[in-house]
Amino acid sequence: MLRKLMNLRTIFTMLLLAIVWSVSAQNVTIKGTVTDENGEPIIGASVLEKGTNAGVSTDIDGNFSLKVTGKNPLVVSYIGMDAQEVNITGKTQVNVVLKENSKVLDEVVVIGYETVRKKDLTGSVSSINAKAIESVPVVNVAEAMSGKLAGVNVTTSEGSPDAEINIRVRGGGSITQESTPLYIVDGFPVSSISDISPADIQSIDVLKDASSTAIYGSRGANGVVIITTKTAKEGKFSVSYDGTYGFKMIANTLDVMSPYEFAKSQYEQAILQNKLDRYQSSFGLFQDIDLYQEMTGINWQDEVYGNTGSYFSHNVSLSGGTEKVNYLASYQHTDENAIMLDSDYKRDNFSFKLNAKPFKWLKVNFSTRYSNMLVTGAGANDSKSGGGETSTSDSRLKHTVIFPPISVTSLYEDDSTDEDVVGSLVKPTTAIKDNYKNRRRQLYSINGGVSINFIKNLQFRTDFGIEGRVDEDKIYKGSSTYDARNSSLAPGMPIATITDKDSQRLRNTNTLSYKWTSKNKAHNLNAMIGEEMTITTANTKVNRVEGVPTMFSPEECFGYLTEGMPASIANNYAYDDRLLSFFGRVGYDYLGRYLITATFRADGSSKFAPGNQWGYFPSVAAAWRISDESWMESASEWLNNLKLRASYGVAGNNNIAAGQYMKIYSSNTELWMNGFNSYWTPGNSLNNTDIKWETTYTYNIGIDFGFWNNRINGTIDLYQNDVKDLLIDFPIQGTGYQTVTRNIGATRNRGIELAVNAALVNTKDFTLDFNFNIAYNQNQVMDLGGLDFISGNSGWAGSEIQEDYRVIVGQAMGQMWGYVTEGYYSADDFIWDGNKWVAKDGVVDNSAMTGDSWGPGALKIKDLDNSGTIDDKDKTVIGNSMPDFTGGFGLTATYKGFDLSAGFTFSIGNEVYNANKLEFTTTSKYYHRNQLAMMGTENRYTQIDWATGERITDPEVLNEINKNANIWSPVMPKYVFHSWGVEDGSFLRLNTLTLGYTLPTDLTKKIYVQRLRVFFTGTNLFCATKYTGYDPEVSTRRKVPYTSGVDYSAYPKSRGFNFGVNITF
Amino acid sequence: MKHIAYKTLLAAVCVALAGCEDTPFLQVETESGMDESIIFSKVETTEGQIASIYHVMGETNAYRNNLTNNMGVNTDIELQSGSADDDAATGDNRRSLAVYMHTAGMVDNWNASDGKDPFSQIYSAIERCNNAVEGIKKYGNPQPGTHMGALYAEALTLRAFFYFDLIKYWGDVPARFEPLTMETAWIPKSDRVVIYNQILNDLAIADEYGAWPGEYSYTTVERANRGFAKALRARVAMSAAGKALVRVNRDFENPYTAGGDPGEIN
Repeated sequence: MLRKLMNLRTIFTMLLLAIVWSVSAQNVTIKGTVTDENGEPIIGASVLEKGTNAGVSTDIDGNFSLKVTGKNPLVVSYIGMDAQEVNITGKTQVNVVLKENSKVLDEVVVIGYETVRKKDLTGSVSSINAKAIESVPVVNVAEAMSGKLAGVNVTTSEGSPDAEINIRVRGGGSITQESTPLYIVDGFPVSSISDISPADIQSIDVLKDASSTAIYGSRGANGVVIITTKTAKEGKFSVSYDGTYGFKMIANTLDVMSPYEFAKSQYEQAILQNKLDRYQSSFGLFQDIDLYQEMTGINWQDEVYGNTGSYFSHNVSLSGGTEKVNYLASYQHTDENAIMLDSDYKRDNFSFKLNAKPFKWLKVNFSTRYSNMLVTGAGANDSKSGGGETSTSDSRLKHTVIFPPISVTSLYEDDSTDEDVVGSLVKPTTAIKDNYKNRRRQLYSINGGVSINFIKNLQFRTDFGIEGRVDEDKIYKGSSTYDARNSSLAPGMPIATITDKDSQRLRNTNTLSYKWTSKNKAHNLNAMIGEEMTITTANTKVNRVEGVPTMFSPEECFGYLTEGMPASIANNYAYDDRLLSFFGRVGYDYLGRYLITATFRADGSSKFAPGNQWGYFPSVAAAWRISDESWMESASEWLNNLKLRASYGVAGNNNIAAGQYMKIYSSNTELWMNGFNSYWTPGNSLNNTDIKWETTYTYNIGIDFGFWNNRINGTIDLYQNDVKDLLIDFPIQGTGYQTVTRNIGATRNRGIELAVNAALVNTKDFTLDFNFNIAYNQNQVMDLGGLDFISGNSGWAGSEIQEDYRVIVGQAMGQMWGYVTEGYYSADDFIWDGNKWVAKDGVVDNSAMTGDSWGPGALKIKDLDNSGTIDDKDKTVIGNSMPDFTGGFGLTATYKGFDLSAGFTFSIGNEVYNANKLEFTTTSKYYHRNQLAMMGTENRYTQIDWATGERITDPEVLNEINKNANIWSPVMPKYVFHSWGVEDGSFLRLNTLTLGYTLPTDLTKKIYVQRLRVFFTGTNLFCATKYTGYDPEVSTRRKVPYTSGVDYSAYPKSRGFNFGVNITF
Repeated sequence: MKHIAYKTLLAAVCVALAGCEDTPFLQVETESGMDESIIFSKVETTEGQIASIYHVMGETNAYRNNLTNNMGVNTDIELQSGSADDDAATGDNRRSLAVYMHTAGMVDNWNASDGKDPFSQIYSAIERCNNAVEGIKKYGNPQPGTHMGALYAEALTLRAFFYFDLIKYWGDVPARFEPLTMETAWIPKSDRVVIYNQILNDLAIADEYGAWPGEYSYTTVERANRGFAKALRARVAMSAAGKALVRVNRDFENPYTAGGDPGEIN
């Protein structure tokens, strides 16, 4: 092969020489200038002699000078412009004017295994490119997508640096499983995109309807997010550097009571509960209560979250190459010191890509990525999807609010032996230290691919990839935590756990594609078939040591685990997750005007029993470019693009744990029972051999439009997604197991999406672009397999609130279930019998709920069934966490060297379950806990005469002093979920605001810098909302997806200010 | 020609798929789990499975907090603290179990929504007993006087114990004596006579296969042994014969025959 090459080469050279020798007199030097439509010179435009290797780039003035044979025309091209062929016979000087191409229509999107031009797209796809992501200083690229893609709802559940980010495409169909979309990076499915450096991303395409996702068959049911990383470009060697530095501060805090108000509320609670001696032993005599006005309280929220966080990020990338080989290497380092005490985040990313084209018919590419992330710190709460928090008393944020602002004597001395009451008040700084977590995650991936063009238009491609991931979690639970207090080997002593998870994924894909065009270019056909195989393996080791001596700090104890008592050592090999698929796509268009595409995919999954393993997913889509019709010619001035699309497709989902169909026993450590060290069990879930693929049927109609040469362009989509045979963890408590995975139930999502881009102003010095997208989604549960509803318990109040969510047939997911608030009881409803308040006849009885505060000022709940008593039957739907409208809009403007961009996100109609507010305004069975300032004496209904400290028993007097009271008494035996705790969480947030300046190129060229830009970016600068909690975009109880929208002890969000620089050498 | 080639290829693939019922590539196993044929053929792992039955007793809110130390513990000479309070009869804490009072407010211990309540826990233990009994019968070859035989007797005794508790506190309950499948997940309650019959027979077998505490190194007083089986059998027999309150008016001569008006308590 090589010899043949060499021979070819020598022959060619000789030929060239011969030509040169014989026609040397015919060599011409062509000079010229390349400018754009505005007369501006284009720097770096490529000028080639067609058919030869002769070529040159234009200089800083747009001039070029090229020696040519004179026989061939010149081809002049530049990115973003239409290439031009220029005839040069008889000329020595040419001036070329390049026109900008309508970028939008020629943009390409990546859809399942190939790229397609936007104008040929028949499915529903939303995309954003690198520019939208690049200077947003976020550690997780998903955050940068927020508000930019129609129908793609990105919510950050909390404010911690490694917070879980939920991406939901068109509502999401599952009930008990998470409706996460499939993530694909450079063709490789990955489990999460949080490790990818945002600077490496070229574009993100989200496939929304089944005609695009069906090619991913399985797992494409909830949408597909395709991330394409930057590839090397032909051209000379270039180096670029981006650096950002910024700082963050907490965005919002809650107002808590001052020490004086705190003392007064403790006094009133003691009087109502008949425990005056408890107050006196901690706070002194009532007569001295005024002394508390002089005290300054400690602001615990400030102590714990008041740190000004810092953010650093550096990115260096090198690229270069020739026509045959090009490469791109990049390294990014991110460092964040968060706003919470002892919390920080570090990440290193390295990636290398190589593309080679040794022959015209052979392309080889290779890429590798490595990422190393280290997160330290507690995080405010542990509730993660798929795994639960051990105890809500460990949620750290709440201690910053409830812990007394002043030092209270005998805080921990009490005659009650009930640990729940005494032990639950933990100093916030101790709570943080006692819940230390250190997490390291390393990810590496290596991909390689070869494409061979057998004959013109027939291409075979094979891809091979391997992704490995190592997660190491070190968790320390100190003496004040629930876990430590209930340890079986050493109660009250710290517990250290190390979890090591090693997982690997192997993938091989082979595709064969063919393109055919008829002679007159009227008919176009492209076809592709392929096969794919994926194997995922995982192995988890858990080591738990109890009784760790307290002399070791949380960080250092992990080096001295032999000092503790080994409680459990487990090594678990998970089931292999294997997927085998066959797929094909056929697309045909006539004159580029009538397009039709059909795809088919068959998937076999190892998660199902033989006989149920294979699922078949077809789809079909059609499009009609109305604007290309001859009878639309007259309108082409103002309407340059109008395309109508329709599609129908079937996609599948197998997002359950593996091994559900088999009854296999595994071994667990026995910590309680004497005489046994371990026990064997098949688990809490009954096996079910009948489970099969969950199927989603989607219908989509869309219109793409463009006015005035795409000055204004956009898309409208209408869709309906029906999910049938939902894979649900069906509750079967009382039979012997807790759940069984079954295919029952159905859900539906319907909606409309609109996305518009407008280039409002486009002149030489000043441009202004505006983009807007909005989506309306309506979710409905169609069937629950015979059940009318499924109960959900968010669990934030332990066992005090049993059921606060319901998934009800015929209604949307996220329905909240609780009581309806009616205010408070007035003194006219009661009579004082000498000892306690007795309700008059006809007054609805709420004594069980209000306990010691039963009487005037007690919480009043609506008696929905008119039974005269408040009980479970008075609960109803009181809110819904799903938004009606979501979307975003943004502005980009440039003026000479300045650029300004602003990105907004909004959400309308979502409601938030403000559990924080409920917790901080109710005493429950505790005392000595601080409350929110809104429960202060001027606001709440009080039964105390604050001049004397006596309890008022005269209804007239009570009515008088409480006529301005706007809230009930907080003294209640348990937490209650009622409609006052549900708030409108609609918001408008300014996500990012960037102002940048690019220095003039003639200045920078002097120091060999091609481009130098400085910028300032602000993140989360404001959030306009009626919500009274920390932030309306929150969901902390994530064990199951139908208890979403709870704001309980969430890590607060922060506001960031960043400065940075982009340099390209 | 290209088109014909592609059409046939696609067709071939479809045919191949339609015939794909069992793809070896998709059969997976784990190295961290065992099938019941292995578990119950060896004594050590069967012991481990019996341990899972005892584990249920240690769960909060089942035996540990409610049934062992609160349910009906009041006697003439001692009473559970808190059960004599004014509000014990309507109280919503577990101490009212001492006076056999369970109120709607006691939800945090008895609500079945997360499977942690006593009823669900006991059925979970029964399921584990059923698995053990069936597994040992099929794979373990139990013989009287052997370790495996003693474990077989232990599983039968424990199952009888749990069903006896269910009848004592809930009356007529669903009777399941086979490992659970989707078909048997929802069955109606049976007359307690059916359950009494089964467990009395089981206890007779346990008497035959079981071992006395101390007879072998693996039989102790902390586990269900032959002595316990004999005593339990006697108590169950007396309850079945009419010493307990019954819902249906039974013929005293032959307690297994119902007679008289149903619904009267005798």
